[in-house]
Amino acid sequence: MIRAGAISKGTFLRMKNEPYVVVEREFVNPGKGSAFVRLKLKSLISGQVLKQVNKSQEMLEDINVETKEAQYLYADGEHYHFMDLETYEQFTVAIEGHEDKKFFILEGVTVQLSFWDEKPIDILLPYKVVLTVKEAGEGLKGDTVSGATKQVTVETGLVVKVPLFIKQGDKILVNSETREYVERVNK
Amino acid sequence: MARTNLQTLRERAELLQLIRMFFLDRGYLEVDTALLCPTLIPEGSLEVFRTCYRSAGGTDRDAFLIPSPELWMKRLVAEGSGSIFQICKSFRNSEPAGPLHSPEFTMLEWYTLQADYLQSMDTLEELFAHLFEKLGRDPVLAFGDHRVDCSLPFLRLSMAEAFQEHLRVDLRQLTNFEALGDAARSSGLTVTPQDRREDLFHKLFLTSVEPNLPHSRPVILYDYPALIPTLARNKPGTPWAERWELYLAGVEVANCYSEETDPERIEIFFTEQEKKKRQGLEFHPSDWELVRIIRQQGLPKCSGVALGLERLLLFFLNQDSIGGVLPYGAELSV
Repeated sequence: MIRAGAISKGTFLRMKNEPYVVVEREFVNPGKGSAFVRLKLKSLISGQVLKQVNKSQEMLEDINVETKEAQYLYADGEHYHFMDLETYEQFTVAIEGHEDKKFFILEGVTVQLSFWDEKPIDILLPYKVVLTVKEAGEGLKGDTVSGATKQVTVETGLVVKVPLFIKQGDKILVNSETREYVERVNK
Repeated sequence: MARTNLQTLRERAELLQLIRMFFLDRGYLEVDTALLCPTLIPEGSLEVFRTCYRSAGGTDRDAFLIPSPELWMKRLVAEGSGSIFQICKSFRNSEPAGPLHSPEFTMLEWYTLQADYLQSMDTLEELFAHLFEKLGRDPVLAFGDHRVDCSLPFLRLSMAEAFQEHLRVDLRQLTNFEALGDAARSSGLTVTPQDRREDLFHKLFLTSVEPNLPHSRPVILYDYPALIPTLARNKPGTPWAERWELYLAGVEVANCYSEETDPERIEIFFTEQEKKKRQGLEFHPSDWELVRIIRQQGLPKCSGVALGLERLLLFFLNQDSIGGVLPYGAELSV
């Protein structure tokens, strides 16, 4: 069990017998009220979002979610397919509820999967991911103001706002949470 | 944290000056009461800072930093000060870190004699109008992506209307634990045996009502359920307390009461809140002297408003974090 006040983003909780991950946590102290925690939870199974408000002192059921490394193989219409590189065992994770992950995983690359109750339930993305620019348009002509940006598409289909000097074929580091450009990582 | 911006410092000073002018012009007396006290008004939902007074050669005594100047200002009102205002530092412990909280912050608190919470709404609106006029600005404030049109009048929304609109429930019916618990469960919220009625109310309010309050205009949310223990007077013949809070773009900025003047009720509040304080909060002696003064001399009819100045400044200075409007002091919360 975990005190609601000690919950942070990324904590796993069991609610209505389903595993949820905390995606947003905000402390609120209403005027003349106790301390509360406002939580936004996402079901690791259906992707359904649940909003909860708990008193900071309230105890909630946290669950132990294990992580394991696996190689990402491919996605079909409904599932992402992975393989354990030691046992060659294959797993699937439903795309539903994890649609956004496709922008940050590359076939053949090793990722972290979280398991609950022996079942893979989530794909853990690194905080920053290196992606190759597939299409880079020109910035606006004559736009030399520092800080100007343009949009490029990377190999996974994600569209990222980048500085004007980024070219097709460049490797860029992208924040997997905010989807923002971090830096160019060309050698 | 970024260094204090001198421009911000000047704008802050200007706004404080204009606020002072507003109250002085209306005949309020400016007071500056103690921040360090041996006793406080007990409030079971507030955690205070404890420190120690070491008199030379004497014994150590506990001292506490005020969570608001209410204690002294009510004493002054009871002793015949007339309408008063104060701009002072206040301190709250264990509050959430984040852009809207600092353990040390500036409070604007004012008490208007012979006024109730409705008249304080008017004063609040006049204060805003005065600030815009003197600053030569359009009555529009910005916060993040929100624009708040502060043209008068502000939107006055009763808590019952807000519950009806966003939860489709009649707040009048939610007076006992069972009814509140049922409403909370049907909103998918957890109800625990430790929850008090006011906790269930707050869970419902914080989940479904507060996040949906209009952001485009200032909202004066009034008539809170009397089941939340406060020092606000009950509205006769209703389940409400004469109380309001000002919300700007969903951010709580000010709190107002028609002040409770009945010494019996004030004493009950003190006794109950002391009990709550003993359940895990920093315990401090209650200021029973205030109760004694009110019992002896009476507290005249008055209405008090407490307004978090940094929160107001966020909007006037278009900043997104309290650290950006405090000269210093947000270091602890970052």
